Amino acid sequence: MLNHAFKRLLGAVPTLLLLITLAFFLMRAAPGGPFDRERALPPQIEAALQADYHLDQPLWRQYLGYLGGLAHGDLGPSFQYTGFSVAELIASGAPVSFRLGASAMILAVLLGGLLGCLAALRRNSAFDRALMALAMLGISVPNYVVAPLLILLFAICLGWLPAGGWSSHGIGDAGLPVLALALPQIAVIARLMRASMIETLSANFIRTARAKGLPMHLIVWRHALRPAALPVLSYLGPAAAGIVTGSVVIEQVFGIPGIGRYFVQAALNRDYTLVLGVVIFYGALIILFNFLVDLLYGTLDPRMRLG
Amino acid sequence: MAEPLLQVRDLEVGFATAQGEARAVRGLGFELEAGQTLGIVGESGSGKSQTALALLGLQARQARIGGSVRFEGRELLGLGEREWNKVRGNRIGLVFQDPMTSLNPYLSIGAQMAEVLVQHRGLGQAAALAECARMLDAVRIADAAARLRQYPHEFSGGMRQRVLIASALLCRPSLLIADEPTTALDVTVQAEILALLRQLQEDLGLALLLISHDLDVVAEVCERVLVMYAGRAVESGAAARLLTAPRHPYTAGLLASRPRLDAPLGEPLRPIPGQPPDPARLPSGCAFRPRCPAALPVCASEVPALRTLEAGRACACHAPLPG
Ligand SMILES: Nc1ncnc2c1ncn2[C@@H]1O[C@H](COP(=O)(O)OP(=O)(O)O)[C@@H](O)[C@H]1O
Ligand SMILES: [Mg+2]
Repeated sequence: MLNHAFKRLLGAVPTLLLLITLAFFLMRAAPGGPFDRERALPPQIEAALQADYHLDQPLWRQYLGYLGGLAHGDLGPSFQYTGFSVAELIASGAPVSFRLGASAMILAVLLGGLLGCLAALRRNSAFDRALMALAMLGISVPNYVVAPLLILLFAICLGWLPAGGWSSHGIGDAGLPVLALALPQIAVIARLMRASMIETLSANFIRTARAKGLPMHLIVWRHALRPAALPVLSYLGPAAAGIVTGSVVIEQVFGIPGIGRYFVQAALNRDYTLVLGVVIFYGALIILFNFLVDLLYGTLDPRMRLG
Repeated sequence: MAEPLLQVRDLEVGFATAQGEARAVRGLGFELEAGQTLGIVGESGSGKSQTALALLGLQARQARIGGSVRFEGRELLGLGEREWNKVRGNRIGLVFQDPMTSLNPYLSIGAQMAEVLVQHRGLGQAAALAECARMLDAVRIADAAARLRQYPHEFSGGMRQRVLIASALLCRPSLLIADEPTTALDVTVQAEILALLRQLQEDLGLALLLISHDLDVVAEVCERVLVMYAGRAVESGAAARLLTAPRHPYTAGLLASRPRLDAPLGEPLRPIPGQPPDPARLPSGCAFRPRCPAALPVCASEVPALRTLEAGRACACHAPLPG
């Protein structure tokens, strides 16, 4: 099985390469350049800058040069933050973004899973119907609408939580951004969990467990939870992607100094290397996460464990 | 006279459907003494499984249940979940038709068996596993201790059914219900499982309720047989008598339609013509009338009552066959 896992990881290399290539050329196709300002720079300075960053070379040479650097783990210098390498910038934003993303993921899995199970057990009750209606809403309303609404409700109307900012320890000020980031995922996971729990509970082996005289909570916990959680587990890869893209918006809205904010600013400023660096970082992260989910999936099923 | 171990009276199982209520079981009654064997036979859809489920309170949530099920001197219908759970798997064991899907693929055999003893006997895991190993021995699974650590996919269908039988017997119930325990299995394995059931029934002094669509299977194991049609008992009696001298035309039809090894070569099977009725749209009078070769005008207007014809023999027919 480890062998299989390794092969899968190798198979991700072309995916990543395609991602880099697309990002590279799309970025260059966008109008404007990194040194465009309100007031145009003197031509000789602009030329010197272009030469400094090899932007005067033909595109294919820049592309190959970038790949060459990448092969040595070099993401290049930032155009915007002079004196900083892209790797340094990502490293400085990563802990904050990671804390935000991981908290949102954990919250989404725990709360979404729990709500989905409860809805499945109380199928067609008022609780179930209300929850599924809310989930539908949570799925269809995007992050950038949810976030300001949450700020309005919790920070401005109720005054419970701060509206923005980020300290290194506080739980309180992380509350709103984490919730805003997690909400759509909570909604999806709750729906998934509900459907798969209902399906699992109709399985023959659950009937056997009931005929043994086990109480329902034990049946759910011991017999149903693991098989019912597998579809949710499969969804964690897409969920991670959703949280990554969501965090770009959320960091912007709440003013959180993470990678997502660099990303938006870099794109606006045509900071080619920083944009590419963040795209590669996000891509690699999601591929790695999917890979871990796959490994976990394999260990959960005894039929795959030995075979 | 002492009350029998199991006494079922006027059992009803109904489902609300778009076409009105589907009556899966209609006024079924029978008795089973401790240590005795009873077989229930009928075509697919005649309400056998619904009967088995109702005896353990396991019917679908939307099902309507009526009548009375007295077991070990008390009424079961209407018990709360906690009380039901003290009966299920403890005083009554239940084995289902499909051994391939009736075990949890994610848990080891040991975990799935031991939990029964932990639940009902309060045993610790080690003691429970030791008892499980003994029970696997009893159902003749070799190398029991090692097998307990394995998962269902490492067992064949017949072996899984043995495991399920062993699980159902762990708490030494006084009644074992087996719903088509051999239907999903190969013929040779079928015979082994039936032999095992018969032997366990004798050794443990179990009462056995064996459900099958196959008259021969039931007759091989059971002293008494009850024939069900469209949710009702149409005939009951000693297995040997029922097989040689059926009184109900439906029983006779079942007998004539089964493949027999001793039949003259080339003799065609004679299946009962037509289909069993939809339980939501039962015909008037006798439910078997549309398929009955000997139907009388009265059969369309009056439901025949189950009448005792001779000692231990009952039949629900306006024109029973001569005994
Ligand atoms: N949930 C349900 N809703 C409606 N009808 C049902 C339901 N479950 C079972 N039935 C009906 O009950 C009848 C008896 O089913 P069952 O007891 O499984 O038959 P058997 O085991 O004898 O083959 C069938 O006609 C079936 O369609
Ligand atoms: Mg059945």
